[in-house]
Amino acid sequence: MDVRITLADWLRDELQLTGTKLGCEHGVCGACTVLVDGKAVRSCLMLAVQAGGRSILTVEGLSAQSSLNPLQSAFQKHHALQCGFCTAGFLMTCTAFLNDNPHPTKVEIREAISGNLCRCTGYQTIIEAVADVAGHAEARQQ
Amino acid sequence: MRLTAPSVLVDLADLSDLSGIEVRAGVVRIGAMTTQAECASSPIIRAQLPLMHEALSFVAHPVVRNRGTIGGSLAHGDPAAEMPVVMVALGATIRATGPAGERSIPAAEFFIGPLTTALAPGEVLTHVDIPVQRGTWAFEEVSRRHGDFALVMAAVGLDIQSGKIDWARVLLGAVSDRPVRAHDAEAALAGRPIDAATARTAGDAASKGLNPSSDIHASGQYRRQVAGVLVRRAILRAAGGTK
Repeated sequence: MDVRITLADWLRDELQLTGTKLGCEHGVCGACTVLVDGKAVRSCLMLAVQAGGRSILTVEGLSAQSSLNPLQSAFQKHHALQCGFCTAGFLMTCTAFLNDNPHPTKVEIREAISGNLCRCTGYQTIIEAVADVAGHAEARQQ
Repeated sequence: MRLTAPSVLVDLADLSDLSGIEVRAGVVRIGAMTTQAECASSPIIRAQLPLMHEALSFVAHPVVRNRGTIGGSLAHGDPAAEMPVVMVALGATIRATGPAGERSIPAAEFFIGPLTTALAPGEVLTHVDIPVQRGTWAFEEVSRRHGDFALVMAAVGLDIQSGKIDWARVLLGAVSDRPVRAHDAEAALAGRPIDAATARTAGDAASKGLNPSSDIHASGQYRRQVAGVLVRRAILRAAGGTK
């Protein structure tokens, strides 16, 4: 392995796991977010060799082929994506967040996704999708 | 930012001695490799260093804080980052080790320019020792979006005895090439009762000595004005705060 290759490039170019996207490549946009040992991190800001011996979860690992997990289904139901470029990053950020805090308030949801940029949705539908999974009654009814 | 292209990179992540938070004899010791997320959720920091706890919520975003470390924040020395300001405000001591042995550097002497610190080539920042904070503090920041680097930030600490300010510390960040201690503002607070007029006078004194640079995010004049407002707000909030 090239010791200078980032985890993001290694996932995409070597493993062909292109669900992880690269937007800014310097830690601002959040599109490349993956889980390392259960914690959401920017895969553009760490080298692949630094992931040695650790468990990596990418968007490809969220559900079995051609099925959606509850968070993915909620994104679909609430139209929490348009072009889809940021979606993998949001899903991974929210997966770690809901593991740590299964029943967050909307304020906590906003704080959790504050490091992910989306240029299509205006974020509101993403918040609704996460609130739905988190069991907010008003989000369920939509 | 591609500012450097080092020929050798060394990953320190497996050096467990460089991680952890402990309090001993009135000093909180934080290992350089302790993540900002670990610091933000630490009951020790919340109880002993509330200023640092408050300021950590302004450090980027939760996902970035999972990888970013306290030692990284300090050794990077960004003039618009929160942790350097907090360390100077609280009178922290930076511990470094290198070929010549260990040494201690007061935070006030550690930051010597933009992205430049007193660390010598070959030295590694290992720990930071922070005295349990005196008085009550408040941290204020203005940035374009929450989590961005600050346009201006202010940290104010007050020790109020019998209704008068017995001791004051006023720090500003993102208005110079390193954290700035506002001595004139501290002098304007010393011995005064705490009220809106005192806060305004001290805020004006803090902004008067500044000459911040302009960039695409804000003009220097705007930064100077905001600095005075943030100092005033922080004084009033620190005065009303609990220890």
